[in-house]
Amino acid sequence: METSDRPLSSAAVQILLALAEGDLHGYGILQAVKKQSGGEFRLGPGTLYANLDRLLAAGLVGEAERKLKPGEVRREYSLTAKGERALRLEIRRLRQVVNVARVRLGSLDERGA
Amino acid sequence: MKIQRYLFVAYRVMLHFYPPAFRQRFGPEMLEIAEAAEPSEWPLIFSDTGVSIVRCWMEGTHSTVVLTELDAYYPIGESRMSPARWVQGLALSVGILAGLCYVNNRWPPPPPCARYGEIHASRNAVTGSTFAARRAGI
Repeated sequence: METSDRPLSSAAVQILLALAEGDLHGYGILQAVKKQSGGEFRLGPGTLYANLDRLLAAGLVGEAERKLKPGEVRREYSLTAKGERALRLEIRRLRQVVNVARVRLGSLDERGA
Repeated sequence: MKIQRYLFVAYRVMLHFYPPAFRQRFGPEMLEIAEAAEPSEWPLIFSDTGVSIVRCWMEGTHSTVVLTELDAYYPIGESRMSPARWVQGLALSVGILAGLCYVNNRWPPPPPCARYGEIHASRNAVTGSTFAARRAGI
């Protein structure tokens, strides 16, 4: 089983989704995750960097240093092609779960009604 | 503002509990995030960091040269954690829990006037009961 075939944690999915919009630095990822989940999913810096550590090692996320001013460098993270494939696969998996849930919960609703 | 500063210093100390390689790589960025944090975000930052430190020690960090070859995801049922890491994680968990219990029970200490009031009240209760007993002729 390849790394990208394995299910991703919900924090990893949120991080990859945030990076799908564009390259971001750490604080930017936290803000993007908060925004895209409507405030439902809030990442702390510990969880963020522990996940980034794993995602970088797996090649799902890349990093580059960007010079802001002389002597001031900011590290930005980006979604790699491998990361995009893994994200698409995960979303397909989640869609399947949602489809099954819709049918099962729909039949439960019918029984309850 | 001053409390924010104390929290920041406490957070900086807390970061020292991370594995050295992880701290060297992500420490400065984590401090930048903490510096920009709002007061309401500190409980999340501290609780999240506490859990993350234990997980980093137990699961290992990929920031070291030795560990970069490891997979980022462990399949369920196969654990690569060595007994030494379990012990490290357990010791850290117990330490953090003990610290939290201590802080919860001992902090903040009661204000001096409240303690004086308690002592005074208990003295009054003793002298009052003695006086009542004398009056009753006991």
